[in-house]
Amino acid sequence: MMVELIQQLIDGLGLGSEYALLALGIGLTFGVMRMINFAHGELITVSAYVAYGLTLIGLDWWMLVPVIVATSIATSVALELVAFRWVRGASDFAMLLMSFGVHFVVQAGFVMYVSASARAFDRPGWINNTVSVGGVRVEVVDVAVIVVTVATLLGTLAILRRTVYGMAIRAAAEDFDTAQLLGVRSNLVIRSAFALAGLLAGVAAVLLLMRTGRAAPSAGLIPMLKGVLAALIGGLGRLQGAVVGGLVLGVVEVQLVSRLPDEVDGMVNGIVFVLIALLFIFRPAGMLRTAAAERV
Amino acid sequence: MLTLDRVEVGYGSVRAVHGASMSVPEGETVALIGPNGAGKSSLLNAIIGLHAPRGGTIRWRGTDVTGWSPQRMLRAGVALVPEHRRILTGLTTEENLLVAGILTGGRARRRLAAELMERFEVLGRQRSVPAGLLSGGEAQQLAVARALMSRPSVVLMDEPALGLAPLMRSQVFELLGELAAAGTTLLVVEQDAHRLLEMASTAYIMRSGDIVASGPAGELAEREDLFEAFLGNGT
Amino acid sequence: MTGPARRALPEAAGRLVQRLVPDVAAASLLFAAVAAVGFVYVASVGDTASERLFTSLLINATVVVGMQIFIGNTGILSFGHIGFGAVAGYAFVLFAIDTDRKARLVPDAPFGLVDLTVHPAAAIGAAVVLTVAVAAVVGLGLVRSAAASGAIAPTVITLSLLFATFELAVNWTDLTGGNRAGLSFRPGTAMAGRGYAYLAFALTLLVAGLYRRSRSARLARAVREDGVAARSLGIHPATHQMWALLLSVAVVAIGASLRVWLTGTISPERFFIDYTLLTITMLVVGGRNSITGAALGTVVITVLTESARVVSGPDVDPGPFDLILRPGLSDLVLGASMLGFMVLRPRGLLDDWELADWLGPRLSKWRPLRGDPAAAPGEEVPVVPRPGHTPDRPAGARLAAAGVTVDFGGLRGLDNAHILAGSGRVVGLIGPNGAGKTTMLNAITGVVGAQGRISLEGDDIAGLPPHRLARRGLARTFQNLRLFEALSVRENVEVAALVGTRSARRAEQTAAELLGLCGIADIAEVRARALDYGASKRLELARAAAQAPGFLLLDEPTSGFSELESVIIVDQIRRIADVLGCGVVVIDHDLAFITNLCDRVYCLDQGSVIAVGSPAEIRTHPAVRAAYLGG
Repeated sequence: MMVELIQQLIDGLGLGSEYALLALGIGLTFGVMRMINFAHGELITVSAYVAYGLTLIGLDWWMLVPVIVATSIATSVALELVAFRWVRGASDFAMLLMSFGVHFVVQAGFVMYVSASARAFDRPGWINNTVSVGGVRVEVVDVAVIVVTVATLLGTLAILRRTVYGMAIRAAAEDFDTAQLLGVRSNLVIRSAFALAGLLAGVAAVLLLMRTGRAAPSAGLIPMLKGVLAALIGGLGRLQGAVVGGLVLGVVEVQLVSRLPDEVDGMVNGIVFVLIALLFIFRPAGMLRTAAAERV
Repeated sequence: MLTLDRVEVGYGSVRAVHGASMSVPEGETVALIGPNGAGKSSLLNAIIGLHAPRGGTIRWRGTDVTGWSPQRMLRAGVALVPEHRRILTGLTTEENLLVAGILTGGRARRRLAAELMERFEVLGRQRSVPAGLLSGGEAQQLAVARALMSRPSVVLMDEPALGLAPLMRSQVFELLGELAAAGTTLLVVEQDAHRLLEMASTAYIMRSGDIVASGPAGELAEREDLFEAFLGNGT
Repeated sequence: MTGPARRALPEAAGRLVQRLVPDVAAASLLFAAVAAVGFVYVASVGDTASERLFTSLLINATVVVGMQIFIGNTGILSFGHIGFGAVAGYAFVLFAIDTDRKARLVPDAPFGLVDLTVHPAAAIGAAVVLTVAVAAVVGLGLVRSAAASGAIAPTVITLSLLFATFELAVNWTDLTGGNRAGLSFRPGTAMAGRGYAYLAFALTLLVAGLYRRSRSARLARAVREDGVAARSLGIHPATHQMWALLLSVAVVAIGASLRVWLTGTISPERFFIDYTLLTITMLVVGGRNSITGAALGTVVITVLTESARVVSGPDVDPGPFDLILRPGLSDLVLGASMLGFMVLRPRGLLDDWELADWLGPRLSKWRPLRGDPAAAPGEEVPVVPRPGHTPDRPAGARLAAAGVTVDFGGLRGLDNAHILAGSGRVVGLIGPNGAGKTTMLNAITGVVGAQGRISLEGDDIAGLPPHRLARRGLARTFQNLRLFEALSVRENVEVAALVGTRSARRAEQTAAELLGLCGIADIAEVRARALDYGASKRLELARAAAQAPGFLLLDEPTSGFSELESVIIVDQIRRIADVLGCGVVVIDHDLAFITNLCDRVYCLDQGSVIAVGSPAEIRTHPAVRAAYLGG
């Protein structure tokens, strides 16, 4: 029983890690722009197709990793440059629709010019290996995911805490005007945030592609939505909250899969979404946020 | 010399400043006083570039700096200590200082921050504390120290003693005195008119978006109608 | 029944009809215009494909106008309406297709559905009821999160609901037939209920128009414009957002059912993200705040995507009917038009222009019942806005706060402060910047949490939420104007009056009177966002007064005013206080203004009251001098 629980916890954290990476990226860009980036999943989609293209010419998995991450960063910054900067400071409504629209245009571009159906490519050979630690059977991929995520999150934390650009992002997320007053340039801070979000999504893409080995125009859709929900659960704009939200979401999802009868396995996402919607009846401001007095 | 020529400021339908002209000679302390809503903060925000003025020109050392961004103004040597201090509460004391030094090189930035934390002892002692936990007086010192991170020639101060206890107010005025003695040019907005006029060389009085009086600070301090100017002249 | 009462009833009915004339006319005209375009198109092309295209346009327009009811009136972007459409579509099909077919397609369907079949029209009714019930439950989280944290969280929730319904539809194969087969009517029955599409669109236009005119919709729009101000007027946001959601979902459910009926088939993909993109684009391109815009957007986008189809040639055209199934190109066209509009014209083609508003003044010239409804005989027109909620307020009502302390995370905003105000008297609150004046108002109106005793007419009111306090008779203005910017001057005031009364006519009269009293009657139809500063301030005063408050709390009514304007507003505040018989608490920095207006003045410094007295006493009080000028 205990062993099973630990195993589920590891599975849950493995899944939650991906969500946490995406949620943190979504939280970062939300912090500096007050925009929920529904196009965040497209970073995964673009990376997946680039990875697919490179496996076609026979590139090894280890070489793919930096390329995927670099692609994701470049795509993230590029989307900011061509699209999101036009709605800076616009209404919530315009920004939400902007990112929703970008999501569609990118996806439609793939359907029209690349491929409407999914393309599979080889996954690394060790992916399904397992190791046994004190009775707990652990998949290598889960260990890899957790290690990589922890390393990435620590790295991101170091960037946010130790570098002046990271401090500027945090400053701008808290109070954009004051950050500007202290000499922080808005272009710089917004693009840094998008680059960092791209990095995180790139790592998430690597982890996801290792598991699925498949590129499709809609590859990033569900991961994006999970990331957004995790950020929302953690309380929008709170970066630690986003990470915690992602991990919680992963653990809960794995628990649901193991508890629910097999017939509803395919509906787990749907059930999670409905549960989250119902959660807001009782915690309308997110799970982790305490009620803050509204200043008038 | 920082000079303003018929500067107009407004947001949306609000006309906050109707055409203010003033000059701040280098090395001096200039006082800008007047009741709430007179347009003093709007004027300072227009100088630093948070809101571009709607009309008029702002010159700094002969260059037309109207509509410059805060970053350019900081580079040119003008800094603002904003109203309500605007401390970044999610950052530590030290991080507040470092962000404010973003325009200077990495090594110089750390050295300057270390210097300032030595000079402002309370800040040095609480360098790793989230700045949201600082007391009002400490937060004000941080706000001033933050402005000094860009090594400014002119510091614009918007109500530095706002909301502070009397003892803290005195400390803030001592700090202003030290800055002035060190040769920093100051343009100060403050409610505590008597104290401010004591240390200023020149003063301007604003009311309802206009500069209604100006002159040597000592003379203005003697004027009987000063109190009336603050509180409305018997309509 | 007495004589006047017997006469009043038909008169009231007559007035109601008059009031509805523009909406009915607008709905008819809009329907006629769309139908005319359709007939010309179908007649000129003359094939079944064109007729199908036009029918699908009518259905899409029904869905889009249905979405406008929620999105337009609440300002909350919803991606979930098509998910509700999916619920309705499946419910409809499960009730409507015959039992033989059901036994073949979904033999294991639960709830005894296999043996049940009703006429499609009745099935639509059942689908609507079921979908509205679902919306009532999940909508609760939606509107509560909207009230707590603005419009972003609800949008994300709606998107996840869309995915949830999709997944359920794909996986609950016993009920839905899954992703591949789906559910369908017997072949050849498609388009049988074509007439219902016309009927549904016409009814939808009418319902949306009448709802738009209703009290609940107007309060919802006030919340959309400024939630804080709306709450301080006594509006409970979630209530009206919920009504908008339920009505909107009902209309979308009708449209979705028809979409299934007329295409003869449903599968999860057909009520998913592509259809969401299509309908949302139609709405925002036309103008989300306008019913006319929603209809126009549907026509424009249909023309656009059809043109794209013609341009791209037949090779990307898998079927004649559904214009959204074409992969790639139409998504690209839709996404691109959405992006273009968000950058260049975020409020859509029509913004909030509405046909009914345009028709209103033009129709009044030949209305069947002539004359000004406000001057209808047989009823006494109230000269003074009567409080609807506290009709028997005692003359000597008191608002008292004592021992009030407010902490802002270590910073003390108020420290054991007190104030006492009585009806019919004007109390001033002065003090230097940061003294805690606005904090005092916020503590009294429940905007910030405070310790201490705050009572109104002897009842403890500490800790009550702003909308409750407003209903108990506290009205306030804000230092930084919080007007309902997209509403006209008249509507701003009417909304405030509507909180206390259900009679639109009473609200109109109150508004007209207060606009006159505040000197802004001549700009009644101007939108609040176009006002200059002085007019905005006067409008805010009129809006607060329209609540018929027992106490009027004014935060810096003269800030930004010239001396002359200050004199005028003193006069207006006095007159309003006289007419309403209310007490006034006013914050200001201008002692001349305070002297002219107030009976009694409190001076705050450092969060504490340092002096109380008549204006003359305060003027010469040494502590006041020291507080302002320093010692």
